[in-house]
Amino acid sequence: MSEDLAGRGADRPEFVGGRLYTWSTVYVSASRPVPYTLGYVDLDDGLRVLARLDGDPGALRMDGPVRLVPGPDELTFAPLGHQ
Amino acid sequence: MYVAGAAMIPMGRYPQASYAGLAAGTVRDALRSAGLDRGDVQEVFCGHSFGGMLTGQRILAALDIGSVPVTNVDNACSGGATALHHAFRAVGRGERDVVLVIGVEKLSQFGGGTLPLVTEDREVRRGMVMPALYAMRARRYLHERDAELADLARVSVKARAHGALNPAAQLRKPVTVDEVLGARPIADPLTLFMCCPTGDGAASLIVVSDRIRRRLGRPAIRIAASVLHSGQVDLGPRDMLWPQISADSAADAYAAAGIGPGDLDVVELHDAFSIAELIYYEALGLCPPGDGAKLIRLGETTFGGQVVVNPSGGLLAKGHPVGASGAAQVAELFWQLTGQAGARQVPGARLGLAHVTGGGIAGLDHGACAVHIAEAA
Repeated sequence: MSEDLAGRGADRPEFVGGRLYTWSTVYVSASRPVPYTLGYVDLDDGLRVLARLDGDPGALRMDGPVRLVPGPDELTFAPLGHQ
Repeated sequence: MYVAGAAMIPMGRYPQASYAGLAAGTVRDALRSAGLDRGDVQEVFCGHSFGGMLTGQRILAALDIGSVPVTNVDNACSGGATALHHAFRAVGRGERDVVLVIGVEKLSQFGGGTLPLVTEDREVRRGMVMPALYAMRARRYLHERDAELADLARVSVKARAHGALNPAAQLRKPVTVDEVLGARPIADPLTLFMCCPTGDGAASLIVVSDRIRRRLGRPAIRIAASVLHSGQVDLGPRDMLWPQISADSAADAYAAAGIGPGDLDVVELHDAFSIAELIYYEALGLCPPGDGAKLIRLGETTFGGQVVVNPSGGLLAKGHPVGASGAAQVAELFWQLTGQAGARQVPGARLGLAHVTGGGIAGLDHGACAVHIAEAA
């Protein structure tokens, strides 16, 4: 599933949208360099995905609209309007 | 089924110790407290997650206990409680009269930081760590509930105040709300003091039949319910403030024991992070949904309140060596319900509940959850 989404989103970044259910900026991690921000995105088609969030965490809003963007991970979202 | 003996070592960091070295003494002490000998043990269940192959047998070899069936149990944070669940069933089926339960873990082997999770999981590959999962719950909680960040800190303050009374707690220094809020960030909005410490520990329990309990004639607790659940996949939106696996486990346990949450005197619940305690107040039915923050603010879950939650200090202060925690929680119930809990004794405690859950798997709220209800025998 994630591979499909990533493939489609890479070609047409506006294709996948959703709302940000919650997020956290991680400062201690066993798995990768910190800090990084993760969030659960509720996609418009009813699925929830854990995604990397790009840009300034201060711009994130609970239940705010987000869209898939090219980013460091296969699934990276950013607030709508973020360049 | 009864727990007739219990023992644990003070949780902390023992980087030079082996798993056998951590646990062997607790087996001896638990047998002694039950008035039994190593030759009385008919079966063993050993909960751990990071001990490697045959951890239970390594511990028993150090004690010259052999031949009897030994089963090693990995269920992440629920490993020790899952071991107890299987002991409960073995005695309940009438197959055994004396079963030894061990919970043991050595997290200091990883140095420090977050628990290493299994990278086969897609969320783990994307950067999920346990503090992040609970931090995301916390952010949602603060958004939906009538609660503030200081309420999360109050949980840690209570845990440390209780831990200060427990010689077996890893963190025994009291902290203030300001100190908790000012500690370094781990996963925003959780600070260091809102997260359980990494450490090592071991606990042992002696589970016996009613026949043996009567023969021993010593203080014991009756296990009135032993419930184990696994998570259910849901790929759609899930209410992160309502942990279904914990709510279901608790409901089944109350039904099996024939009691309700209002009957409990003491609860040991899975406060791996301070937000978890507030959420589990609701899931365990200690308050109506939405009222968790009110409980901690009013002091209803400390000594003198409606129910004392985590008198041991909980995972936040006592410590959380993953596979050991479930057994250590029931050891605490043993001491509380037999009046042996010392400075942290809940006066007149008759009924207690222990709850552990854990494991990060994409699509599940948690991988495993065990709930035990015990009463003074």
